[in-house]
Amino acid sequence: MIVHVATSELSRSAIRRHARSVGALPRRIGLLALLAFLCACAHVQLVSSYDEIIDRGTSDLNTKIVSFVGRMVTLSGKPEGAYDANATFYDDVKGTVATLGMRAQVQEKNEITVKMLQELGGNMDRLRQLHEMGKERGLSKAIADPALAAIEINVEAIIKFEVAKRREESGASN
Amino acid sequence: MAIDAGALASQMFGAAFAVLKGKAPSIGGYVQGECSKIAQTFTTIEAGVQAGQISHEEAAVLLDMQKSATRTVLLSAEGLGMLAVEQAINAALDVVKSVVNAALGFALI
Repeated sequence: MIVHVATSELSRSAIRRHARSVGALPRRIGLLALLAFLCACAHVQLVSSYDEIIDRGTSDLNTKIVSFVGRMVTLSGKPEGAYDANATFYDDVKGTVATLGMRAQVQEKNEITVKMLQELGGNMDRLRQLHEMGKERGLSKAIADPALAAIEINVEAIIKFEVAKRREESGASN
Repeated sequence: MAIDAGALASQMFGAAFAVLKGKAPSIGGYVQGECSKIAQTFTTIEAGVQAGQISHEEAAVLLDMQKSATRTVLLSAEGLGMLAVEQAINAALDVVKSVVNAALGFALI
C-alpha cells in the first residue's frame, strides 16, 4: 500500500513537471518572437539623414557672410559701405536661407535643422537692421564683430548637427 | 540555449549606456565652449556701449542676436542628444539580435 501511494505521488509529480515544461515552451517561443520583432523593427532613426546640400549650402553661405561683413567694416564711413548700396546682399541671403529651410522642411524628423535655419534667418534680418541703423556710417567694427560672432554660432550649430548625422550613419553601417 | 531575460536586459543596458557615456562629454564640451563665446561677446557689447560706439538700440538688437545664437546651440545639443539616444537604442537592439541568433543556433535576424 505504501509503495503504491509513493509510486502514485511520483507519477503526479512527473506529470506536473511535464506540464510546466510544456507551458514554458510557448513562453520561450513568445519571448523569441518578441525579440525577433524588436530586431525586425531596428534600425531606429530619431532624426533625419545627413543632407550634403544643407551642409555645403550653409558652409558656402557662411563664407559669403564673413566676406561681406569684412568688406563692410573696411568700407565703414564710405558711401559704398552704406546699407542702400548693399541691400541686395541681404535679399540674396534671405533667398538662400529660405531655400535651405524649405529643403530641410520636406525631410521627416528634421524639425531641429528647420528651427536652426529659422534662427539664422532671424539673425541675418537683425544684421540688416543694424546696417540700416548705421545710416551713412554703415557697419562699424564695434557693431559687426558681435553680430558676426552670433551668426557664426548659428552656422556652426547647423553644420555640427548635420556632420553628426553623417557620422551616425557611417557608424551605423559599420 | 535558453534566453536569460535578466542577463539580456543587462547586456542591452550596457551597450546603450556605453554609447551615451561616450557621447555625453563631447556634447557638454560643445555647449560649454559656445556659451563661453557668447559670454565673451556680451562683454564686447558692453565695452562698445561704454565707449559710445554702440547705441542702446543697437545693443538691444545685438542682444537679440546672442539670444538666437544661444537658442541655436541648445537646439544643436538637443539634436546631438537625440542622435546619441538613437545610437544607444540601436546598440541595445544589436545585442538582442546576437543573443536571439545564438539562442536559436542559426542566423534568424
